[in-house]
Amino acid sequence: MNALPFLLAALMPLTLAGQPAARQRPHRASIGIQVSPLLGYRTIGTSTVDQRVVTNRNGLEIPWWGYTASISLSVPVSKRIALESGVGYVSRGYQTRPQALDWPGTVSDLPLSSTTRFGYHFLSIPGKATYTFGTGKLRGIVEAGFSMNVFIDQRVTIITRYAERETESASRKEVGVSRFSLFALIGAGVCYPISSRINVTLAPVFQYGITPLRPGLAVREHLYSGGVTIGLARRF
Amino acid sequence: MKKHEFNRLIQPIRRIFCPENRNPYARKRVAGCCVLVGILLIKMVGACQNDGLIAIGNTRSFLPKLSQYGIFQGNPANLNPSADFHLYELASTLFTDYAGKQRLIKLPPGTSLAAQGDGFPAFPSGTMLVKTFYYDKNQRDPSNGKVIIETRLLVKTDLGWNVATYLWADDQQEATLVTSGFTKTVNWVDGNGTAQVIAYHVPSERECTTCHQLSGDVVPIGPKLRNLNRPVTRNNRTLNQLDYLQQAGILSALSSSSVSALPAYSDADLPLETRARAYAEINCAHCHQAAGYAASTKLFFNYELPYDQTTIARHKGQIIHLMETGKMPRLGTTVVDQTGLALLKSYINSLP
Ligand code: HEC
Ligand code: HEC
Repeated sequence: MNALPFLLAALMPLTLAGQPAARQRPHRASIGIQVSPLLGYRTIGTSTVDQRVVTNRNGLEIPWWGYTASISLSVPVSKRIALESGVGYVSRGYQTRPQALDWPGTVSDLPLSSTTRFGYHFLSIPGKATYTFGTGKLRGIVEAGFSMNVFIDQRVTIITRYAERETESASRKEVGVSRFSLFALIGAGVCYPISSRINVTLAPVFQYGITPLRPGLAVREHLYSGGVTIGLARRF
Repeated sequence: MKKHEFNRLIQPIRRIFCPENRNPYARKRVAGCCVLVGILLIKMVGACQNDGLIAIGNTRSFLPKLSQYGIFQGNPANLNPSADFHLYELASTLFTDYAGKQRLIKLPPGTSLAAQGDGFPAFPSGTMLVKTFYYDKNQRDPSNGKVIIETRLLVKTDLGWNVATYLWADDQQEATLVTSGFTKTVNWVDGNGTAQVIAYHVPSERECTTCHQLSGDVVPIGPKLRNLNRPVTRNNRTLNQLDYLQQAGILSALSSSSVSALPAYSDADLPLETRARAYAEINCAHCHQAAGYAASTKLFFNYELPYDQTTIARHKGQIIHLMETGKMPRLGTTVVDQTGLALLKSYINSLP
């Protein structure tokens, strides 16, 4: 598996943590909540499968929204570095571009196009390190880590567009996706205190799937998602 | 929790990462720890790649294009089988999102199927079973043509059965091997003149073997003699299919009257129980039997099993609920089979 470099990169900031501890009073741990919209996009790459199938599938995919919400505990390990973990929920969305529908010409009120949306839902356990830099109130943060995802279910929705309306139907499956998958995440943003104990953070975050959603595939699925995390943290 | 209590709680974590004595080796130690944690995580996730399916690897490889098997002659879009491939039909069939299906069998030259009771005949090594899924563009008028989606193969070697499916290109001239599953938009006009659009799912090999397995061996499902024991029309003549297969030299000699028959669940003249059990036999029993994927549920739907051994009685409410919500069958459909659901509902409601 070529996942190792990603993970190492993700864990790099942790190695800085061995630096001498801060001389000032110890920094305090905090609990926080984070929410983020997640724009997801995926492609497949392969050498073993017929190129036509790959081109076909990649040609259909366009980004779609998901989101993530979590609560976490952040423990400072030095003046600038904190380790953060928690639990959350993540919905990863992907979709096809609208596809024109062809009909035998005899019937009226026919749908013109359709889009298929794929939603994968997980429990998430993030683990990351954040590095804070700058002085003063507004500070910069860089974060890196991973998100372990525990599969809940998968929903396929088809949106059918008529000339003047839209209909939707969905089906749900609980098998076919790995029980566990691992995503690497990196982000950078700003952090601002809105009171003596409460910090807000705003950080664009990027995620990449380092294990496949479905095991044993002949294709390598590349899963990308990006979003902006909005977080509130309260120090103890 | 008080502040000092909390601080004490996280003290050990701090000690690992912020060694107070500024040991020059501390950084290396921490770095080492992180790498270890990383490797462990990847190994853990790798070991937990369980997707709830039963994956059984093929023991032979498949050719990349369907045309390489010479299954169809003339324009492939007409699905006109070559001379070696014989059409067969089942009395009761699996519901797959309203797809139409063509089933073919090819035996190695000079061999035939040997009957063994009314279950599966003995298939010689080299047997090829072919199932092609298509939709009539307008179910009220088949002359509008059809869209062929996929052709699934089961091929027997000395080591057992192998699975593969081929996805048809839009030009309907060729189909390509797909092992990892595929979702394709399919639309048609149904029997009521209503437009239907679905996200048709071409199964991955792992899904194939989850349905097509008993105790870890890949097996066919449809062509049990009792499910083949039905009338068919061949060369403008209607005859029993078992007789036809013998005439065509595919089936070894037997008397079709000695074989029991699985009823056609679509036949509204048959008793409700018979129809419902036939439906469940072909739509549920491949998983719900003692050696199947759902063995642990003890809910068995084999047609030949007496009612009191099925545990249907204990699962009445669940059967209807899980079908209504599309959770059962667990694989192979994306829409609820409303006709099948109505049939099982009236059967369950008729039970004491
Ligand atoms: C939802 C369970 C299910 C899945 C998934 C499934 N099948 Fe089947 N298959 C059946 C059933 C049930 C039948 C017999 C009934 C029928 O044909 O209507 C069947 C029939 C067949 C047949 C005709 C011979 C026979 O056994 O009856 C072939 C060939 C076949 N399947 C191949 C495949 C391949 C290849 C895949 C994967 C790409 C696959 N199937 C996936 C349930 C399944
Ligand atoms: C692809 C295999 C498969 C098919 C086909 C299938 N099932 Fe199941 N079914 C399962 C599995 C596996 C379970 C156990 C699920 C679990 O433990 O979450 C199950 C569980 C159930 C249960 C709950 C039983 C219990 O005690 O928990 C019912 C009821 C059920 N199935 C009904 C049906 C019916 C009715 C059909 C046919 C219309 C059907 N199933 C077809 C695999 C299948």
